[in-house]
This record gives sequence, structure tokens and C-alpha cells, in this order.
Amino acid sequence: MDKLGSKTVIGAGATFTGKIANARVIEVHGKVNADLTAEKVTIGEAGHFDGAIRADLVVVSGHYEGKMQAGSVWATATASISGKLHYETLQMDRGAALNCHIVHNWTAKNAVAAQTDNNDAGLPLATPSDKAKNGAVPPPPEEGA
Amino acid sequence: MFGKNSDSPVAPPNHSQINEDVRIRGTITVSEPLVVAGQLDGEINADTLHIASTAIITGEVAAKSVTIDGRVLGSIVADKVFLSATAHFEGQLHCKGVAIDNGAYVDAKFTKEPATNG
Repeated sequence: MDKLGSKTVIGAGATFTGKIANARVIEVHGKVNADLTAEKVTIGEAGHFDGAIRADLVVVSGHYEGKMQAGSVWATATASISGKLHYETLQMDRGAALNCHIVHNWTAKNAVAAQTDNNDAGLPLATPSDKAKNGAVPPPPEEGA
Repeated sequence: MFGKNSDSPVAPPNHSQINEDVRIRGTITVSEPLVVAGQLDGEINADTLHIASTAIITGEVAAKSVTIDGRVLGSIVADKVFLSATAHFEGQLHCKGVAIDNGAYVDAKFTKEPATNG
């Protein structure tokens, strides 16, 4: 136990198939076919990862294929990614091969915020005075015009 | 987070480890040493396997040599098996040689045969 760091490692000679949950920090140097939830994922140069990843930070130096949802993605020069990539921040080194669908939104946070804003805008039908005040500042949407 | 080069992967380690807080379901095949400290539900094929005291393994284990400090429920096929004092093992054991420390909990069926696996 003691020699074990705080991370999980799938070594170069390892093959894993299945589901990994709750891994804080995981390094993949072997072949993995899995669904993974973690804080930080590193796919080494020799690593092959096939499957879904949900993580805060993903560093890819090897092969990745699947649907990744990550806060930060770093594709190093040796990376090759295919599939789908949802990210908040992305760094791509010269030489990285991205062959995938890339979407900058992975959090529902933005969508939720937008929704709340809309609700706030729609709220002032509380009191007539509020309504009047709100109506005076921005011109109300004119549907008839 | 990004600018730090210390984050970049180093030479791949030739051992594998499953950390304490990790829950895994599936099959893991390793030709190098493997340390399991988390929860694993499934199959392990390894060379040298260390099941740490925090580990809970349910399923089938095949390896050349197995050291058990944690809990194993299921079957083990191995050449050499060592159950330490903190080990908890229930199931079937198929091995050439076994050593059991004083204090280990063992509720198993033993078969002594040369292991074909591992």
C-alpha cells in the first residue's frame, strides 16, 4: 500500500476491459477499453484508450477513441484522438492528430446560466411597478410590429 | 495546469496499480506486476499480483504468484499463493503451493495442482 502513490496506473503490458469509477489520478500506458470517471487522466505515448472519459483534466499522448468530456484537454505532439471531444479549455501541441468532433461546452453550466438569465428577464411580472420599471428601461419585445 | 512540463508523461512504468479509492468492473490482463488496492469486480490475469489490505476483489484471479493482504471472494488459480495475517479469502483455491499466515481468514476449497494459467 505504502509504495502505492495516489494514482492508478495501467502499465505498458496491461490490458483492461470494463468500467473504472472514482479514480482520482489515472495513467494509461497499456490498452484500455473502458468507461472512465476520474479527476486527471494521462494517456501515455504507448497508451491506447477506447471508451468514454469524464474528467477534469485529460493529457493525451497516445491514442484515444471515444467520447471525452473534460474540463481541460491537452493533446501533446504524439496524441491521436478520434471520436468526440467536449471540452472547456483545449491545448494542442504541434503534431497532435485530432480527428474528431470537437465541442466547446462540456459543462451544462453555461446552458444553465443562460437559462437562469432568461428566467430572470422573464421574472418581473411580480408587481405592476416592477413591470413598469422594467418595461421603461429596455423596450419590450414588440410582437405586433 | 497547461504550461507545466512536469505534467507531461514520463517513461511508461512497467507495473500497474489500481489505487485504493478506485472501483473497477471488468477484466484486467497484465504481464507485469500488478498491485490492487481498490475494489475490483471481475477477472484478473497477472504475473505477480499483490492484493493490498484495502482491496476487495470479487471474481476470478489467475496469476503466477499472489500475495493477499485484503479481501478476495472468488476463485484463485496460481502457482504460489501467500495469505498474510490481514487476508480474508472465501472461495476456491487452485495452486501448487500456499502459505497462510496466522490470523488470515480462509474459507475455501483447496485443490493442489499445477496451475495452467498465469
